[in-house]
Amino acid sequence: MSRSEIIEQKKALRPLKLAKEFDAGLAEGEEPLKRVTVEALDFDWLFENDNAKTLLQLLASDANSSALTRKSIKIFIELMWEHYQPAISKYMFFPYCIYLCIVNYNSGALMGDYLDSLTLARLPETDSPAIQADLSRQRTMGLILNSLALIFLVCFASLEVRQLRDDGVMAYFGDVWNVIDSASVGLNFTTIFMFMACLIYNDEVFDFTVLHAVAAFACFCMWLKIFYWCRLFSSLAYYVKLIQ
Amino acid sequence: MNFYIDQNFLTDLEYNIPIRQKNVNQHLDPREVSYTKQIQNINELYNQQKVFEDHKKFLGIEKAHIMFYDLSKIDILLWKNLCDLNENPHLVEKSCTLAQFNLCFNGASLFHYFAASSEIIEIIIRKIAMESSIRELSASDKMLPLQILNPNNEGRTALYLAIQSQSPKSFELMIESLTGFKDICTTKMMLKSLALVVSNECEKVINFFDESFFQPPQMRIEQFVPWKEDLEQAVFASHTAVISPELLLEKLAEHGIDTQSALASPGKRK
Repeated sequence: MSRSEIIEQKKALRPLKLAKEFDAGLAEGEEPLKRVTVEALDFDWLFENDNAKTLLQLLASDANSSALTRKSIKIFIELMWEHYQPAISKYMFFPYCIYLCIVNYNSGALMGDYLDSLTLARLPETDSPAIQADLSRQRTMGLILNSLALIFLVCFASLEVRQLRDDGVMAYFGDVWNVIDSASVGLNFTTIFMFMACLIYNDEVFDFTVLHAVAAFACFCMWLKIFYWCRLFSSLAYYVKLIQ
Repeated sequence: MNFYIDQNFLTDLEYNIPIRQKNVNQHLDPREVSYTKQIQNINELYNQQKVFEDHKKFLGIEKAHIMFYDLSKIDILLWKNLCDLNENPHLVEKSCTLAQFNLCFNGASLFHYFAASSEIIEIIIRKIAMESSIRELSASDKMLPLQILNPNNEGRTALYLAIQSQSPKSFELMIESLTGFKDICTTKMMLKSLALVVSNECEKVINFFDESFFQPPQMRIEQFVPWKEDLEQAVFASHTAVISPELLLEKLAEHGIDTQSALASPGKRK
């Protein structure tokens, strides 16, 4: 038995009991107050014009990575992040999730079912009113979901175009994530266009094998982007940065 | 040479500056006040009002007929001689006291003038460190590094001039000396150079951001507030630098701390 354990045992045998306890001046269940001092970040100029935006851009692009670990910079980033994170989640991440679900459902389920129904409807021996009803339902759903996916695609593509315009071609394609983004936009557009053509003409306008392959790559790029979005959450951001 | 002597000044009329000021501290007997003390009082602008038509002259508030100058001919001669002797860093170090570095010539401090010469900047900063280790520095001596942020007549700080003259060593030394001024918001005066500080590779420069905090005397007063056990610090945005107990409790409530009882009677406990 170690010395500390012996001491603990002896303490247990002789519990300390005071005949009277001092009054701490606290009511029942009241916690004691803590002594604190206040200090302000020496960045009062942040509130003038676009200074906060400029500093954020500077930290994101040219800053020494060591500067990001310094106390005042960390506080500034955390403070800004409290406001940026909900806004990014609300206006970017959740719409992207809906977009991802639509594209995945389109590519993974609807596209296959529709093409199967189309093949079956073509053959006289397999064609039936039930198959025709399925085909019609899948076509309507495909048109609605493809239209929704197209709207999301235009929104996200416009962001990429804006970034390309702001950064310039070389700087834009210098970032791997931008390459993935632009590839995703291209593949999604191709998938939507090809599937939409099939739906409108209600025929196999493009080779089904090619359509499936393009859709698969489009989904893969979108899931890669989800990995990028993981940086939005502080518990996952570290691992994403580590892998990068 | 043409001089004018009155009971307070011995003035060189050729340059219209005092060679020696006799009565600087208006409260104290000049016979008992040392020249160093007089210089100190000049630097601290004790009981003086700047005459805006000529920034080199100050008007005494208690005795309005007395005009004060921030420079004396002795100061000017000292630096003229040092310049004539090729600005030898060793000679500068041996010849000058801290007060003699705390001068402005035609709107430019010595930090501005020597921005390209890292050796002299290093001497000044070393001198401040050495003096502060052996004595309590006067207010003006403590503020000496802030001359770096003072724009010259062309609106340029010494930091800017150090960058312009391609002297990274001077820049690093200047930034290093600017840490620890909690009473003053220093970063506002160096906005043009801040991008270079953020992107600098030198750790000493980056360390500037570890201490770039503003804590005026009102903030230094300790306050007793309810607190969460696991909370190390609470960060909040405020529209004012005057953080009253009520405002602090309001902000802490936003962090999920129960401040109801404290808000009901701030500063009082049953």
